[in-house]
Amino acid sequence: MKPVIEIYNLSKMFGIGDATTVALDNITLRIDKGEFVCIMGPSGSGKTSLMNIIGLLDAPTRGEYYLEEKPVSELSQRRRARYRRDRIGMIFQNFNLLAGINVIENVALPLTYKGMLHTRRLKQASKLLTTFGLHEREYYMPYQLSGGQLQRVAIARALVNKPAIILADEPTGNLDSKSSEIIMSELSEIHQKGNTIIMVTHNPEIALYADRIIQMVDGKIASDTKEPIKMRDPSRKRPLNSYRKAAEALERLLDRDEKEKTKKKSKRGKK
Amino acid sequence: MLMIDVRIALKSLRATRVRTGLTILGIVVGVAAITTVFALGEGAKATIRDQVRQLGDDLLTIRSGQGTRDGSGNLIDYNFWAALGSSTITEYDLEKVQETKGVKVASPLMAITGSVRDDPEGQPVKNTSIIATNVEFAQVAGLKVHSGDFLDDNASRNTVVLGNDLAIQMLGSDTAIGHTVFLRGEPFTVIGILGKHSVPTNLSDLYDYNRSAFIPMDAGKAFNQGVAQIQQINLRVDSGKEIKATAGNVQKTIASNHDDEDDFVVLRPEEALTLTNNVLRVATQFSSAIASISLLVGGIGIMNIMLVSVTERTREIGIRKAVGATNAQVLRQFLIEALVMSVVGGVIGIALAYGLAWLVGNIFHIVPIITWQIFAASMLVALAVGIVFGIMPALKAARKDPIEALRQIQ
Repeated sequence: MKPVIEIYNLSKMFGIGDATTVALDNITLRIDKGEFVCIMGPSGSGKTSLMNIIGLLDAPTRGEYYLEEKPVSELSQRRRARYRRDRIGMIFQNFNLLAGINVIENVALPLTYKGMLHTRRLKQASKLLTTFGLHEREYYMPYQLSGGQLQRVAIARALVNKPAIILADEPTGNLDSKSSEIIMSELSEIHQKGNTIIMVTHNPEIALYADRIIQMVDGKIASDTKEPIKMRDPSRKRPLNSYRKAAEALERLLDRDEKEKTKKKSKRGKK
Repeated sequence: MLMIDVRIALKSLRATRVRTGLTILGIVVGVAAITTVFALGEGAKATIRDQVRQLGDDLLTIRSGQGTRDGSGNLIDYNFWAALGSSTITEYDLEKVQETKGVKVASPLMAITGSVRDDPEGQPVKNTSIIATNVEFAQVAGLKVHSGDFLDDNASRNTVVLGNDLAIQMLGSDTAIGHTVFLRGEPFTVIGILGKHSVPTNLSDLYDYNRSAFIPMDAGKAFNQGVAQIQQINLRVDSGKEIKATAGNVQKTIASNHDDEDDFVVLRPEEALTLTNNVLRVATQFSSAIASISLLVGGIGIMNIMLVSVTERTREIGIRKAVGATNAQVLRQFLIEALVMSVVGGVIGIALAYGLAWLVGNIFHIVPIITWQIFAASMLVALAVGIVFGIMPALKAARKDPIEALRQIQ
């Protein structure tokens, strides 16, 4: 498999002097084409910082990042924007659709910046929306849609340019369980078509849809479990038990970490 | 791509209608003010050109004051303050000018300050001039007598010829000859009333002949301790073609009278308006300067609103950047918004200026003219305001960090 993302000894620091916080600490990571990677970890563990760097919204303090085997550090700002436009699809927890324009225009937005003609743009967006069952909602404004529908629109927007990677930052964070399930089955369908997906989530249930789970703690990769699983066993709707157990174990680990931290804090407080 | 930018801009401007409207209003006022001033200035210039044509190509004007001429003999400056002082032109000059070769007919103009009444106890009529002159004045100035006669050398000293408007206002008729009117309290008999003088406004000669009372020189002198105070001599030459040569002759004649003292100017038809043109130019410059201030304020308004808009729409900027908008594209979007406001303001402003110039022109008897140059200049000014005051907010938007921008709570 060809690597889509290669990261070597990557660090990200915020602030200067004594106020420096380390968001990412010497991370090395390789993600291949067609993987569905889930990044988990407590808040402040550097998940989002990593996503921002992978999504070319931010630059690392140290280390190297190759996107589709090209070194990102050599890209100009304009080229970065082009990469975001053409090679990366982003999905956010709060959808991040433009409130002032309708659904189809939102989906077509990346194509707009490509300079594609209006009718061609809308045709392409419409085709995509149809596959998401939103054909009839094309000319609705974002505020007229439910959360699940909004996220499907956002996914359509992320896909419209046929990107190399899809970055999803807590895609179900604002959704109820039913909508979450729909979104996740959409994402796994996209994955099955051969797309590379990197997703951040807190929810172990959601993480089960991925075929690789990266656990992050304090800016480091704590664990990297690759377990090829069948997403849906036709007989059972739930993912396989073994994998489920692994996920639960991860969750417990997380909880323990959290508890230890709070204990330390409270001890310090007592002193 | 540009159309898309414009459409995006229009959309976001429409989302904040009231704010956009008020911002545009600022530009409208500024552009309207400037365009009005230009249009009136252009109209006044056209009026003057028109008057030169009506005055004829054979008219010379002699005034006191100092003129500066360039090498080819064209007047480049005329110190008009001298015209406000006491005149250096004498009756002897007039006499000599009349004898100069090439001069067909010459006539003095002595303006007298004083009241004009139709009744010695009544209120003076407003906006009138008293002009003392001789019989040739009608011919020189191209005045037509409507009824009665113009001043006559043989007529009694206390006779007066009234301009058409003045006669109608005072006597209620332009045929009422034989009435007595009072100039500076002295009775004068109306011996003639002029026809309506066709030059619509008298920018050229400072006097509106339609509202003037013409009296013989003797009467004028009597009002001035017996001294003739001639502001100017108007004269017609034999042939318009030789006006330059005749002007030279006249110049020499008077110069020898004045011991070669350079205290007078001989003005050719187009030059007679130099005084007016100077005043007009200063007035236009001054008013455009004031009008520019309002445009400046309008521009600051645009900048202000755009800055607020950029701050408010930080998240939108973040989203656009996340899906692949380059800094240049974000810059363009916001710059176009500013430009849309300034151009719309410019168009409305010019339309408004049409009406405004017409209204103001009515008061000053100027027909405003909006040439395509004025239209283009106003639009360019509006565009420039949009760019100058839109660039800073647009740069601010373009430079926003997408991560910070996405983090903003909506």
